[in-house]
Amino acid sequence: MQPACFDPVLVANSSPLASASPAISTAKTEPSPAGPDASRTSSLSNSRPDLISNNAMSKIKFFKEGGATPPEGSPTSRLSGSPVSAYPAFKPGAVQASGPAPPPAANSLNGSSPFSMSPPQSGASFAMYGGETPGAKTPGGYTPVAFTPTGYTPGAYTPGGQLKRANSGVGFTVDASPMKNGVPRSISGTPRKFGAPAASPNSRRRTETKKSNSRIDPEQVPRPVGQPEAVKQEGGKVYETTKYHVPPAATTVCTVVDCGSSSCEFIRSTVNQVPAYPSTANTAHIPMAVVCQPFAELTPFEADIPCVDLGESGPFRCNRCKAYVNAFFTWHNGGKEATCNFCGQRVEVPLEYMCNLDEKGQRVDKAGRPELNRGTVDYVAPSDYSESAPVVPATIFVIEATQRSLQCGLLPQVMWTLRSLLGFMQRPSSRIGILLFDQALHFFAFHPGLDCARQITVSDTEDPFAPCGAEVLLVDAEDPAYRSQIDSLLDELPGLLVAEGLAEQAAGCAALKAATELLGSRGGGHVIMFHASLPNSGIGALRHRDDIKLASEPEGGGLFAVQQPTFFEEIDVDCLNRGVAVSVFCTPATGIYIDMATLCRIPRRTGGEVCYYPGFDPSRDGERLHYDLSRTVVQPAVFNVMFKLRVSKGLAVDSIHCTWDPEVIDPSTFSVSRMSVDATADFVLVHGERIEGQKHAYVQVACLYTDKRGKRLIRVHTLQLPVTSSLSNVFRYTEIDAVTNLLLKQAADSALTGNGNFKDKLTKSCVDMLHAYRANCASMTAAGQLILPESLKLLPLYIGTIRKFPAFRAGSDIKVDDRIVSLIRTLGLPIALTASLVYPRVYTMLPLPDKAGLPTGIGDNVFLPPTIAGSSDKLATDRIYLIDNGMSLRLYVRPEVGQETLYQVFGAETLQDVSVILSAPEDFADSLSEDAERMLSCVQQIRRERWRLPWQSFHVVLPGTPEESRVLASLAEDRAGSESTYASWHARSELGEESDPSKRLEAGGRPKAEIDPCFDAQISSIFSQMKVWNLARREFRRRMAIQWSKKYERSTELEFRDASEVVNRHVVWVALFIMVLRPEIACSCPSHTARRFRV
Amino acid sequence: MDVRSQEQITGTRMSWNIWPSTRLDATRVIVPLGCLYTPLKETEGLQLVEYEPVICKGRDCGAVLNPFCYVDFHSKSWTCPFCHTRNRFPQHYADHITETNLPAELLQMCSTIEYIIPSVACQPPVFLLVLDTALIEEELDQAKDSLQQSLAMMPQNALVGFITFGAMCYVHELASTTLPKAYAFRGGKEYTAQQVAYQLGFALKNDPRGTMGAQAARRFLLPVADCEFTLNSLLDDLSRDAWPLGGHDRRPYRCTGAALSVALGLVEATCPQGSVRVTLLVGGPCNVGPGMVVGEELAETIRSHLDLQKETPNAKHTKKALKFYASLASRAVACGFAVDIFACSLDQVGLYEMKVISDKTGGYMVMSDSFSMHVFKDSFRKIFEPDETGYLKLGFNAKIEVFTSREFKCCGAVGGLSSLGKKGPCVAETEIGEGNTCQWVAGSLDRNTTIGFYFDIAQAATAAAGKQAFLQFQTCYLHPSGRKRLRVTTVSHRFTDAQMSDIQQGFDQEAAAVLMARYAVFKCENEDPLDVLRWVDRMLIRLVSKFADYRKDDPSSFHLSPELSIFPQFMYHLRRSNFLQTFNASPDETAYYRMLILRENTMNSLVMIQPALLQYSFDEGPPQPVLLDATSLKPNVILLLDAFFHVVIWRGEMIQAWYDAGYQEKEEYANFKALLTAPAEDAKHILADRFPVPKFIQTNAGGSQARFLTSKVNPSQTHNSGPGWGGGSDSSVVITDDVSLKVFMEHLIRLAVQS
Repeated sequence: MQPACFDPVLVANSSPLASASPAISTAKTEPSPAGPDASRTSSLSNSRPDLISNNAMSKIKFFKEGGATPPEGSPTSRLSGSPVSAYPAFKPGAVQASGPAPPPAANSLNGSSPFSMSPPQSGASFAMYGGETPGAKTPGGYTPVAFTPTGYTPGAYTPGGQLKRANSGVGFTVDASPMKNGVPRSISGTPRKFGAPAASPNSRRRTETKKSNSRIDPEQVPRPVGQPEAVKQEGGKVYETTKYHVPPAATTVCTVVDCGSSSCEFIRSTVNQVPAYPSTANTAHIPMAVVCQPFAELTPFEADIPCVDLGESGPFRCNRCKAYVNAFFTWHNGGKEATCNFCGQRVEVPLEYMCNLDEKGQRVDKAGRPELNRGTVDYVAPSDYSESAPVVPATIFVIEATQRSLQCGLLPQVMWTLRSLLGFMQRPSSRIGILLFDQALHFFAFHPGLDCARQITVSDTEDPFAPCGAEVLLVDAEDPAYRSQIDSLLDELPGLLVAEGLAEQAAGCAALKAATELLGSRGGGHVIMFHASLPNSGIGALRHRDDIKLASEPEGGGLFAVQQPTFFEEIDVDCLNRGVAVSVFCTPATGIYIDMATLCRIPRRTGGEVCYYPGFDPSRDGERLHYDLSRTVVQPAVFNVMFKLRVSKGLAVDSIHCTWDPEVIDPSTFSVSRMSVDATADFVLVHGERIEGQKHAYVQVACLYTDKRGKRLIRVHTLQLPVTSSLSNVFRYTEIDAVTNLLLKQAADSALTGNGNFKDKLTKSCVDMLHAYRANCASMTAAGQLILPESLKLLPLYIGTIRKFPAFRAGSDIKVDDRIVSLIRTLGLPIALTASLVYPRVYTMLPLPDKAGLPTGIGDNVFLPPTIAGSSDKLATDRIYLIDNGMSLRLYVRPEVGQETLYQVFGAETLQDVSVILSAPEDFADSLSEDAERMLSCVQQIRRERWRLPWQSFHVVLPGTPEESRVLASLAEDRAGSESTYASWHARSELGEESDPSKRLEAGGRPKAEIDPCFDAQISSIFSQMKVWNLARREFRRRMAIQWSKKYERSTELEFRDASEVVNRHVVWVALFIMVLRPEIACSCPSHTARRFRV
Repeated sequence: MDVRSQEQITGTRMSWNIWPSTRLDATRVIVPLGCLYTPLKETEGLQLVEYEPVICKGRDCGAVLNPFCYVDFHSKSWTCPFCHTRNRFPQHYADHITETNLPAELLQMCSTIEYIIPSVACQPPVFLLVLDTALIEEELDQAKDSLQQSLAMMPQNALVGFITFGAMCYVHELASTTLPKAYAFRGGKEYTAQQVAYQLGFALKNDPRGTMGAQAARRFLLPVADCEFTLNSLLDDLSRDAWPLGGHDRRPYRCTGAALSVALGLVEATCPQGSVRVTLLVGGPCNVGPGMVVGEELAETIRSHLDLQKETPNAKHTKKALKFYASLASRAVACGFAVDIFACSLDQVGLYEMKVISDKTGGYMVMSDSFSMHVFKDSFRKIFEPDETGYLKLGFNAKIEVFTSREFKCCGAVGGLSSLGKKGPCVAETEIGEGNTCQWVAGSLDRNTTIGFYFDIAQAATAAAGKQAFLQFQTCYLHPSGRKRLRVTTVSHRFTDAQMSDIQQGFDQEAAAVLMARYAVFKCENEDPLDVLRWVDRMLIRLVSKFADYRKDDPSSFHLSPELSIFPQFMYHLRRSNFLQTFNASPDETAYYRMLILRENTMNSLVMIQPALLQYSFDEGPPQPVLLDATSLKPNVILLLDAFFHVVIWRGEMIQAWYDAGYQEKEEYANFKALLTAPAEDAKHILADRFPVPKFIQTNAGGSQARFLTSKVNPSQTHNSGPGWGGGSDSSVVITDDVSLKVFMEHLIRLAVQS
């Protein structure tokens, strides 16, 4: 099938800047050119501290020799502008990035992309497996309607009924839900081909099924592969927060308009319809949770967050539950009273806030008050909200200056990056300080009017201290009085240090103590530590304790515990009290222990970043370090945060999962020194009681923080969630990204605390969910049939891959440091990264598919090639692939790629040349073929789509290198370590649904090698539960039927109303018609139908 | 030979030039037997020889061959006058010595001789400058300016180090040129030499000779020639201490104590027993860390005498600070360093507590109101002034040893040195000042530094009458040229007969007054000043009643011999002086004055006790000294008062009126102009010669600054005396409740003649 996504009709002509600004400027509340808005707008233009500023050219050469320069000629730098912009954006292509453009967005248009895990429309995407699946028939016998109001076409799993008929194995059904409609609504959807360009899915599947012992066809399992969607307009599709039922997928490039409920970019729920009854929630086994990323960056197309200044009286709040006023407060008594939507309390409105009501009971000033019409607002905090006056956070760079640091290139790279960053810092947050440490601490004091900085050494590393006041150690880098001093210091330092000879010992913890004290003394800021080796001298010195035996355990075997706990305890208490955050960058030599468990403690507590580059090689990792550091420094992170989550009556906050090892006051409240734009916290909600009489449940996030300008603000996000009593709705409106995110964090949390059974829990929660669905929502299907809810169809796949994460998998090849870092990264995972991290995308790069790498005509966007299953079986040996795991992009050259091909495409004589050329394509522009250019454009495109996420490095992986095995290990579906391949895993986890005891025997009879012992045990336990259930099954079915009919009556009404809000009546009729003619249409030309529908 | 010319030759002044012969007699003469010795005095005809001295081999003796030795030219041997041991001359002496061919040290005129010890070379002088940066900008600029000037004056081979401090202490590395570097030390901590060495990166690991350390220390202590540029630019760029001020009601942090400990640690680790001066320039009280004397808040005032006496909360830091500085002092003494303190502040800086460190090490102490004043600027410059040979006029790390003949013993020494605790036959049981030793160390000596030694007649020596007593001082010091020198002064005096008939002729009332003053000041350290005053009175009364001619209970018959005639007057002024009176002075000032009187030579000390007053007038010809009396304040004279710390030119009302009318501008009144300039010229001379440079005050009758004069003069006319004060008299009236000299004398005589 030819995906329709290349349809150029929608192409809007776009000059990025011109189109961008008018689009938003109307929505802006404060279009001051100096404000943050300006920064954002200008960020569109271009920006990043790039290497290619002319005057820096000579420097670059120097560092290039050191290999540290990010490839100049890479598409990145080609696209980047001069370092004058106010905000060094991280998206690869700065320009069109403004139109954060073309998405692998699954569900935007009729591309039945498998990425569409969460359809944006109420019409559930629905795929069925063979037209005749019994699951398609819902109890009510209602005639279903295909909802495709916005042109959404659900993906469908085709391959047919033979399987079931043959009854030879477990079939797959991705069930749209036991919906009101007995008929699959996906008629318009096209039969989808899975995986590689296999000829006939049906036949192929059958044969493979036979081959494998597992009765699950590996070809048929749902996986997020296929043609990524290109955006059709600048900024992607527009969603209004009150209109969608499930928010657009986190990876989608889209524009969200805040209409009263908070944007999904800030706060996202696993269940987008909250079960009214605790019992429903328990039955569903879907964890209720909200994933909050309260300071997420907005796209340039989205309106800025309004800032409300109500003076010293402060925001209007409920006097019982302290919820902030929001769009869902109701007003009475001529505006004199208000009802809180959280606790139902009637509150008297203070005189100064009072306003008359209109005939609909809405305040007359609603449109003029952002807090009443937007889901996300900032309040200026009245002075009594915080104890001390806020200060503008300063940054101090604490860099190791030992031999090791210089040899591995850390120091020169950091110096260079800092220098290029100088132009990007915005006043007033541009106060910086530099502290080097070896066996002593070297501070640099700047005095106005001098030529050079003054070095002040503190050798007392047992009792470190800041030798001067903050005024001279932390200076405004944008102030011309200091700028030249800083410039020349950064230039000269590496040379000077070499000249003086370097020490081997590193008093890192002493430096940390002094730096935190220094920042603490001025009221807060950001300490960025750079370690190249284990800090082994001075106070808080760490000792080497990497024991291979211990380290191979996934639980860390005690290595997860922090060394010198009292020392670090003291520091982090101090940091939290005084608003100091600590970030850590570590570049240990390959295989060298640096004790991340300890070094990460403070960053985790205080909300800093953890960046880890094992075996740091400036030519490979320099660019990433550069961008990671730039991003850490210039992103609009906030400081001194006090976070509170409020939920409406009936719900309660149960637990929190986040990177900062909860220094929590209660499960809904915590304080942290810094929150980056990526900082994400997952809150698990439970029912305190049933939600009665409410159509909606509410979640409100309130953050008291200091922004980069030193203003004390309160950010309030209010999310409205519909309440449902239907179990199927719960499943239908579940969002897999959020669920995966939560499960990942739960697993990481328990892994970090040394709890080894997190894997079982992971599997169990997956099985529980799927089982719950199978049992309660698809009970009518045949016993041998596996049925997955559409919303969670990828869950088994994801859980399978999660088990293989380096963080979770056992194995001596994973160092304890890697494990720790990976776990911590997982803990703080922003939702947008979840999917790509869990299931790395594999793009075929050579031969390039038709349009791949060619411009779409929208901005600078290009088409991306389709992705294929992440399995080494699927990789042909004579091709080149691009593997994207959310962290890095790797161009994988397979072993049998011919010499000629290489020469034709890259102009490379040998394999090694390829990486040389691609690390600096600019220098080889002549020899690069058009194909190569297109490849680079694709890389660029991926980066552009992820501009709000950390920078993805790009490098070439050659066959026969250690890199290669690492790449192969990262493929999601392959067997890694003791973890099973996807297909076998899937088969096993689905066994939980197997009702026939004989099947169980069969399963037991499988080769033992395939079965993970702990897994086996778990399955047995599930079986025992299942047995009981089986005996009662008949009875249960009957009851279910009765229950369903009751339930149906309750739910239909609700659902139908929802549907009718968005569904064109006309479409309903067409859908009915199609339902009758379903088989024919399904088989004939679905794409045509799809178009007709859209009309 | 009169006492002054004797002083010119030997540098010694004795209170008694004829000694009582028994211990009992010694107590009867009241005024202690003492000797004021100026070790580095530029004596007349000083013989400088470059060979090893010949030393007595006697047990516990180490006296050097001197003119008082009995020499046996036949047996080529000499007898030590101190221990009576016969010593053979060394061969090269024996070969040549005859009655006519004598080595220099045996010549009578060479009772003072200086040996340049051959083959001992030591390093050039080290100046470690410790600068307070917690100052206001103007003050800091002045201090920096002075330092830069001093750099230009220092001998080019002198090593210099630089430390600044505020809230923290910074040791500046002078070797680096590209990036100015400093090592920081916490202000709240005391540092030992090991800690400093370790933190500066030259820890001495199994390095007995310390060569490694010395090498590494070259980064911090560099010859002036090498680091002058670096240090100058460092000073140019130096700005105020960058420690945030706690608020307007707070003092800036100043860790003087820690800085001193770091400075000492640095030199201890690098050049122990070298020629080292640690020079501290401080502009405020230490208020953090060890040695703090006052808290951070301005509301807390610095202690006063009253606080100290009553131990009020204001004085709560004092004891701790005193202990701390004493420990620093002993560190410095152990290594033979001198520590100078230049305190420039309007308020007190804690000299009272810090005094001990300068006092024990022989370092200078200068107090001034501001770094911009001449008192500081010129004094500071004077340290670095070279003599005619181009060397500094200083001696470093001096070890002074006393040898006495058997009839008497040494009780101790007072003034700018500390005991080395060397026991010997000449150590007396009674202790005065730094006693119980016959050897002392002073980190630094200049040409005026005078030490008061006190002696006692030995218990056993009964047959001393009529004999000669011998006294030898050996001063071994490091000369700025990098050579070790030994100055030997040997003096002799005779014991009186049993009746003490002639002892009065040997009384040197000037030296006696100074020795009494030193003794009294020394007593003040430990005793209530009031008790000391009474002690002085008692001593005076007893002395006078012992030596004056009078009939019992008849004051009118009282007569003092000329040898004693002015002694009571000295005591009168001493009683009134700031040395014994704490009224109207801060503890810092008192400490400062007291310390200086313990240092200066006899003449200067006398000026301190009884200032000199010169009168310039048309009527009475050339300038002449007049009585330090209120009657001298006449309207038609110009007075020049030299009170050592202050030099005051005072114009009488008439002179001032003339001056105001501008007569000095007119040609026909050139003589008036000359009259005006004469005292100014004289004052200039005084200012130029003296260290520390006095404060110069130009005032006139009735002027506010005239108090400097009126407070010194004898209040012969006060508001209480005479009928209706202020009426008619042509001399000034001093408003004070102090008794006048006349009253004092009357009382003294009455008490003296009392039976």
